[in-house]
Amino acid sequence: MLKALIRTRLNALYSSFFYNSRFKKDRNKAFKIVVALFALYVIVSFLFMFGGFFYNICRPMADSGFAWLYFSIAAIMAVALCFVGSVFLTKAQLYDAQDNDLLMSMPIPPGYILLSRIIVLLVLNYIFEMSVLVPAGIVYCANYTPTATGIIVFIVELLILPLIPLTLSCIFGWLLAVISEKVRNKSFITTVMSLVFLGLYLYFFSRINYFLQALIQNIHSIGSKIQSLAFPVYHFGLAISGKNMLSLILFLSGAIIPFAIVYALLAHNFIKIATTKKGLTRKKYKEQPLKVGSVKLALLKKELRRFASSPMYILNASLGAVFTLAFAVAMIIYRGIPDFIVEDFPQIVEYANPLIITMLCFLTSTNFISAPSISLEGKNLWILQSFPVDGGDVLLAKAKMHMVVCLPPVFLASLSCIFTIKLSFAQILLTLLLPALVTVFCALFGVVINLHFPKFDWVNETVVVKQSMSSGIAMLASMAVIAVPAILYVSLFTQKISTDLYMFICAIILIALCLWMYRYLKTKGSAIFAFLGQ
Amino acid sequence: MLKIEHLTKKYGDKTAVDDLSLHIKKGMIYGFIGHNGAGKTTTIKSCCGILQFEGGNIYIDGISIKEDPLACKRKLAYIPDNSYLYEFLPGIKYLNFVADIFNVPKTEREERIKKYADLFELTEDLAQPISSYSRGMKQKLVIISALIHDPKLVIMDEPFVGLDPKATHYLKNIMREICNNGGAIFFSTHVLEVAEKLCDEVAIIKNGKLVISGSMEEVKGNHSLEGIFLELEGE
Repeated sequence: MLKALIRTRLNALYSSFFYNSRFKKDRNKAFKIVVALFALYVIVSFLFMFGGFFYNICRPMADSGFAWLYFSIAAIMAVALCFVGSVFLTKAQLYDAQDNDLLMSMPIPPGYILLSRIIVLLVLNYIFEMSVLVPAGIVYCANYTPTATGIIVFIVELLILPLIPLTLSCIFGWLLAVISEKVRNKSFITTVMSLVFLGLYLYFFSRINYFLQALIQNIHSIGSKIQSLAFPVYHFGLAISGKNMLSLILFLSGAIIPFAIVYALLAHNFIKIATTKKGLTRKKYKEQPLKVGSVKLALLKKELRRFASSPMYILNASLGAVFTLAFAVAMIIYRGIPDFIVEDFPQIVEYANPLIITMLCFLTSTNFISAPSISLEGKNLWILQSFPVDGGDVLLAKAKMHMVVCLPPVFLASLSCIFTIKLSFAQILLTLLLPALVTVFCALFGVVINLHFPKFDWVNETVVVKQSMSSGIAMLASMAVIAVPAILYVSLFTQKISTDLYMFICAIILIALCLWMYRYLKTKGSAIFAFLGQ
Repeated sequence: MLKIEHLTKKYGDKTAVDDLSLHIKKGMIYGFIGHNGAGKTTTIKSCCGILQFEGGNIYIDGISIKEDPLACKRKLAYIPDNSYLYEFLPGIKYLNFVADIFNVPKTEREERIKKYADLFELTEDLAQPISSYSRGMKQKLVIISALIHDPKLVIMDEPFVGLDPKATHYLKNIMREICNNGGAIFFSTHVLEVAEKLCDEVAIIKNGKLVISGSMEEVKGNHSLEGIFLELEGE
C-alpha cells in the first residue's frame, strides 16, 4: 500500500513535467530530451558553482586545521539549499494537498499517507543536497587522500543530513500555511517576500568574493560560532575530518531525534491537519455606493486584478519591470554608470548613450505579461464570450494591462537617464520614445501570439505562464526585437548611419508594427476571439 | 423573443445539433429536455453567441445573433451549467463588473444587487472572494449577475443544480416574474417534475434532433412528462 502511494506521488511529479493535458498523453521524446538536457545543465551548473566555491576554501581551511569547518560549511549550504528548494513544496504536499479527502475515504492508514508524502520530499532533498555535498567531497578528495572510514562516515551523513532541512521545512511549511490562511493581502506579501529574497540572492552573489575572503580571514571566530550555535553541523564536520565516532553519534542524534519528534506530531495530528477547514475570518459586506465605469475600464480593472492576484504570474511575467525600476534607482545612485562603461570599454565611447537606451529596451522586453493572458481565462472564457463586449476590446484590455504595469517603470528609468547622463536632444527623445515603444510592442505582440496559441484546459496556471508556447514565443520574439536590429547595426550600418538616426528608423518601424497589431486585434483578432475554445 | 431556425452545429464530423427549430414567445417559460450529450448545452451556447454554428440562424427579439451578436447579448442573460467565475474577485466586485459591462445605471445596479442578494441571502458574503464560495453560493452569484441588467430573455443551463430548496423556490418565482413582465425563459433541465410544473412549453431533443415540442399539455397528454420522456428515449 505504501509502495502504491509513493508510486502515485512520484507519478504525479513525473506528470507535472511530462504529461500533456491538452492532448491527454505523454509529451513526445523531443520534449523529454529537452527537459532532461535542461536538468543536466542545471545540475552541472550547480556542481561547477559549488565546486568552484569549495575549491577556493578547501586548502586554506584544511591546512590551518579547520577541515571540520570546511565540511560544516558544506552542510550549512546543503541544508539552506534543501530548505529553500523544498519549503513551499512541503507546504503544498503536507498542508494544502487537494487529494486528502479522497485518500482518507479509502482504507489507508493516515500514517501511510503522511509517510508517502515525506518520502517524496526526502527524495527531492537528496537531489538538492547532492548538488552541494558531492562537489565538496570531490574537491576534498582531489586535495587530500581520503580514508575508508572517512568515506563511510561521509556517506552515512550524506544520507541523514536531509532530515534536518526536512524537519525545518515541516515546521516552516506549517507556519507558512497558517500565516497565508490568515493574511488578507496574500499575493502582495508573497510577491514582496519573493522580491526581497531575489534581491538578497543577487546581493550575495555579487559579493561572493568579499564573503569568501571574510570567511578565510575570520576562520577562527566563524568556527567557534558554528561550534556553539549549530551543533549538528559542527559534529557533521568533525565526524568526517576527525573520524570521530562520538561526533557521528551526536550528529545522527541531532538530525534524527528532531525529525522523529516532528514526524510523530504530524502523524498524531494528520487527520486534524487534513480536515480542519482553514480560512480567513469572514469579512461581512457593508453596503456602500458602487463605482460606475465604462466597459473598457471595467475590462482593464478586471485584468489588473487578475494579474495582482497571482504572485507566480507577477514574479515570472513582470520581473523586467522590477529590474527596470532597479535600473532607474541605480542610475540615480551611481550617476557614473556610463563613465564606468566608458572606462572599461574605451572603444565604445560614442555608443555609450545608445547602449544605455538599448539596455532599457532590453529590460522592458523581458516582460511577457500579456502573452499568457488569454489562456489564463481558462474555464472562465464563457463569461467574456457571453457578454455584449467587442472581442477587440477584450484583447486590447489585456495589452493595456501589460502597458499599465510596465510603462511607469520605463518612464521612471527614462527620466532617470535623462537627468543623470549627458544626452543630445535626439537622444532624450529616443530615451523617452524607444523603450516605451518596445513595451507597447511586447504588450500587443503577447496578445496576438496568445490568440494563435491559446491553452484553456490547464489545471495549474503555472503551466500557462511559464511553460506555454505563447509565453515562450513572446519571450524569444521580444528579445529578438532588440537583438536583431542591434546585430544588424553593428554588422552592416556602423559606418553608414548614425546610431541616433538608426534608432529613429527602428522607432518608426516599431510604431508601424504596433499600429498593425492594434488594427489586427480590433478586426481579425475580435473574430478569432469569438471562436476560441470551440 | 427567441427563434431558432434550422440550427445545425458540428464538432468535426459529429453533428451535435441537427436542423433544430424552436420558437420561444414572450411571456413563456420554455423547458428544454434531453439525455446527456443530446445537444442541449450546444444549443444554449449557440443562442448566447458563445458557440458559432454552421447552419441555420438564431434570432433574439428579431435580431440575428450571427449578424449583430452584441445587440443580442445586450438583451439576454446566460446562466451556465457550471459556476466557473473569476475566483480572484470578491462577489460585489464581480457584480459591479457585470453591471459596468451592461452599462447599468448606478442606482439601478445598487437596487438590484440589494434586492437579489438579500433574496438569496448572499449579501453578507459579497465582500468575500469568490474562491471562498461554495458551489451553491457561486450559482446564486451567477443568477444575481444575470438579473442585474433586467434581461428580456434568460437562457439557463441546469439552473437549479447546487441551489438549496429555498433558493430554488425563489428562482422559480423570479422566472415567472420575468415572463409576467413580458420576458421569456429558455432553460434546460433533467428534473422533469420541475419542468412539468413550471414550463408553458417544452421541447425534447435526442441525439441533436428535435423529437417533440409544444405546450406541456400537447406533449404529455394524460401521461407524466417522465413517462413521455422515457418512451421517447426508447426505454
